[in-house]
Amino acid sequence: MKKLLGIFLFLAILYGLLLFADPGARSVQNHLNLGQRIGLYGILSLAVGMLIITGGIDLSMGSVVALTSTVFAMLVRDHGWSPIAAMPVVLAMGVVIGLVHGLLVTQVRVQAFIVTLCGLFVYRGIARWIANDAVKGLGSMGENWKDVLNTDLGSVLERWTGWDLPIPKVIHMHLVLFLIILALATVFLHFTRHGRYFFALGSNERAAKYSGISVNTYRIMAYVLCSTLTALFAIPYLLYNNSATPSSTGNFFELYAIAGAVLGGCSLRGGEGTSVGILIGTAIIWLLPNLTNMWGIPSSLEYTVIGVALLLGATLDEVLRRWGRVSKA
Amino acid sequence: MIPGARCARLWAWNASLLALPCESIILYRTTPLSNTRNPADFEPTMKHRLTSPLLALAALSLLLAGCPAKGGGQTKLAFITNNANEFWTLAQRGSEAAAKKENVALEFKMPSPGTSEEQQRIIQDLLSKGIQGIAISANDAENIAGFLKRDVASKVPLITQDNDVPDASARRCYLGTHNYRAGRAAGELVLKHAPDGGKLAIFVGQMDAQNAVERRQGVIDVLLGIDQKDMKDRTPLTANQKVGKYMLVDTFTDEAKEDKCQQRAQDALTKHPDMACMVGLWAYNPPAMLRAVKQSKLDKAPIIVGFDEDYQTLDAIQKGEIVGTIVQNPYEFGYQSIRILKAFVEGNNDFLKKEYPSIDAQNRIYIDHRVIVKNNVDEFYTKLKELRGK
Repeated sequence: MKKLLGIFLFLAILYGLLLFADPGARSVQNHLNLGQRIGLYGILSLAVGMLIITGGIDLSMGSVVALTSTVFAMLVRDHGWSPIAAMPVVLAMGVVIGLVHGLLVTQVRVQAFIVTLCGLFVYRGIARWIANDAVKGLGSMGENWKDVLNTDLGSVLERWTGWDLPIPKVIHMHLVLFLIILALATVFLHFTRHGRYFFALGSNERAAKYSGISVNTYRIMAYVLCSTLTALFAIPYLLYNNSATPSSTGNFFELYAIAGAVLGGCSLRGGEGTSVGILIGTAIIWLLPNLTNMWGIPSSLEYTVIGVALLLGATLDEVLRRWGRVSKA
Repeated sequence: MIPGARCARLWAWNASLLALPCESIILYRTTPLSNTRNPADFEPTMKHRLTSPLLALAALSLLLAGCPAKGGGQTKLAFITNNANEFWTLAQRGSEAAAKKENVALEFKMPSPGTSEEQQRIIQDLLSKGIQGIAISANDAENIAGFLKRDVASKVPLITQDNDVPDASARRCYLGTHNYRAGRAAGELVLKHAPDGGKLAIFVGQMDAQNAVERRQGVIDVLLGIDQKDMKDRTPLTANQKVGKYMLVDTFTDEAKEDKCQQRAQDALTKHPDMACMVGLWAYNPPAMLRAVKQSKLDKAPIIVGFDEDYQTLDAIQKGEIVGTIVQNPYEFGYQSIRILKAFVEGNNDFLKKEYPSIDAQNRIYIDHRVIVKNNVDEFYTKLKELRGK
C-alpha cells in the first residue's frame, strides 16, 4: 500500500519522538491512554471518512455528539431509564439526523456544507434548550457499562473468565470497540459491492449514475452511516466522561474527525481513502498533543507545534506520493 | 543519570541530524559531542531528496521542544488552569515565584479548549510523566470529580483552585475566591450607582459554570435585599423578572466569546434603550459591553459593573465609563497552591491548619476579592503592570 507509506512513516517518526521524550511516555499507562483516545475519536474519523469518500461532508458531528449525549444522560439520570434502553433511542436519533441530512442533500439539493452547518447550530441549540443549559451528568448510573468500557481488555477478560491472565493491560476497550467497527467498515468499504459504489459515487457521480447505481440511495446511506456512528460514539464518550455540557461538549469534534480522515488519505474531492489510512490519521492527530505534553512544550506554543507538525506530515505524504508516481513511470 | 545529560544527548542528536548532507537545510550546528552516541547510528538508510522533510520535521520538533522539563531532585508539581485567558498570567507569575523559592519543577498548563476532557487528558499525561502533585481549576466540576477522586487523588496530592469540585473528599483543599460574596460586592456597586432601580442585564460566558451561578446569585440577592454570607436559593434563568426595584431583562450567555457578548449587548440595548445597568460576570464581558454601549449612542448610558482586571476595564474605570470591577487575586492562587502542594508532597499534613487558621470544615481557603473603583484604580493598575510585564 504505497499510498499509506507517507503517513505511516510520519506516524512512526512521531512515535519514535514520543518514546524518546520521557520515560513516562514509554509506560503501559501512557499507551493505554493513547489507545483510548485513538479508539474513541477514531469512530468519528471513520464515520466522516466514509462520508467523505462519497464526496459528502458533515460539519454537524460535534453538535450531534452534544445532543445525543445530553439526551442519553437525561434519559438515564433524570428519567431513570436503563442504559441498555436508552442506547437504541440515541442510535435512532443518529439515523433520523442522517436521514434528514441525506434527504435535504439529495432531494432538495441543498449543499451538504450548508445542510450540516445548519445542523451544527440546530442540534447544539436543541441540546442546550432541552437541558436548560445545565450540565447533564450520569453520576453513578450505568456502572456496569463503565466497568466494561472504561478499562482495558485484559481486565475485562480476567473478570469474565475469573483467571489470572498474563496479558499486558495496555489495550483499552475503546480501542477494541473501534477496531471491531473498523474491521466491519473495512469489509464494507473494500470488499463489498456497496463499498465500491461509495468510491464510484465519490470519484464521478454522473458516471456512477449512468452505470446504473442508485446514487441517491447510496448518498443517503453515507449520511445515515455517518450520523449513526456519531451517535454511537456519544455512548462510550458519555460513559467515559460521565457528563455532557450542552454548550461545549463536542465543540470542534468534526474538525478533528475530518482532519484525521483527510490526513489518513481521504480526499475532500471524494473517491479516495482507506479504512486503515483513517486509523493512521487518527493516531497522528492524537499522538501529537500527547507528544507536546511529554516534551513539556508550553501550552501557548502547543497549537503551533501541532499545526506545523501536521503540515509537515501532509507535505511528506504528498512528496512521497509524487515520488511513487514518478518512479512507477 | 546526571541532570542535563539527557538534554545534552538530545542536542547532539539534533546536531547530527542537521549536519547530514541534505539540500534543503543549510543550517550547520556544531555542538560538542562528548557523552553521546556515534552520529552515524542515526544516519537514515534512505538517502534521497525526500529525507529532507523528514529531517526538517525531526529537527524542528526537537528545536521547539528544547529540553524536557528538568527534574533532577526537584519536586515535580503541576498547575492546571481552566482555559487560556490572560487572567491566568498572574497565577503563572505567582506559581513560578513559589516554585523558585521552594525548589519545584513546575508544569503550568493552560488548556486552550476549556473542557474537562482536555484537562483529563493533560492530567493523564502528567501522571505518566511522574508528576508529584496537582492543583487544578476544575471545568465541569460535578462530573470531573469522579475522575479526580478515583484516578488522581489516590495517586498524588490534589488540590483545587479557582473552581472547586462539589465532592470535598476528591481533593485535599480548595483555594480561591468566594464567588457568591464577590457577586454581592458587584450587587452593592449596582445599588450605589443606580439607586433608583430600572432595567438590568447580566452577561456571562456560560451559566453551567459554578462561579457564574454564584456571582449572578450574589448580585441578585443584594438587589433583593437578602442578607446572607453563603448562597442558598438559585433564581431561575427566566427573562424579564422583577428583582427588588430592578427588572432583570435577561441573563445573556455567549459561550465565552467576546464578540458574541458584544452583539448580544448591542441587541439588548436596541431592544431596551432605557437600560439602567449592565453587569458582566467574566473578564471579557465588561469591555465588550462597554463597546456596545458606546456604539448604541444612547442619551443616558447604563452603568457597567464588571469582574476581573482586563486592561480595557481598568482604562474605562479611570475614565469613569465603568463604575467598578471586582477583582480576584490569581497571583495568590498560584503562589499558595505550590506552597501547599510542596508541603503535602513532603508529608507535612498539618500545614493547612498551621498556615491557614481560618480554613473551614471542608478545607476551603478563601483568597479575598477586591473592589476596584475610580479612587483606587491607579494604584492597582500600576502594581498589575509590574507583575504582568515581568
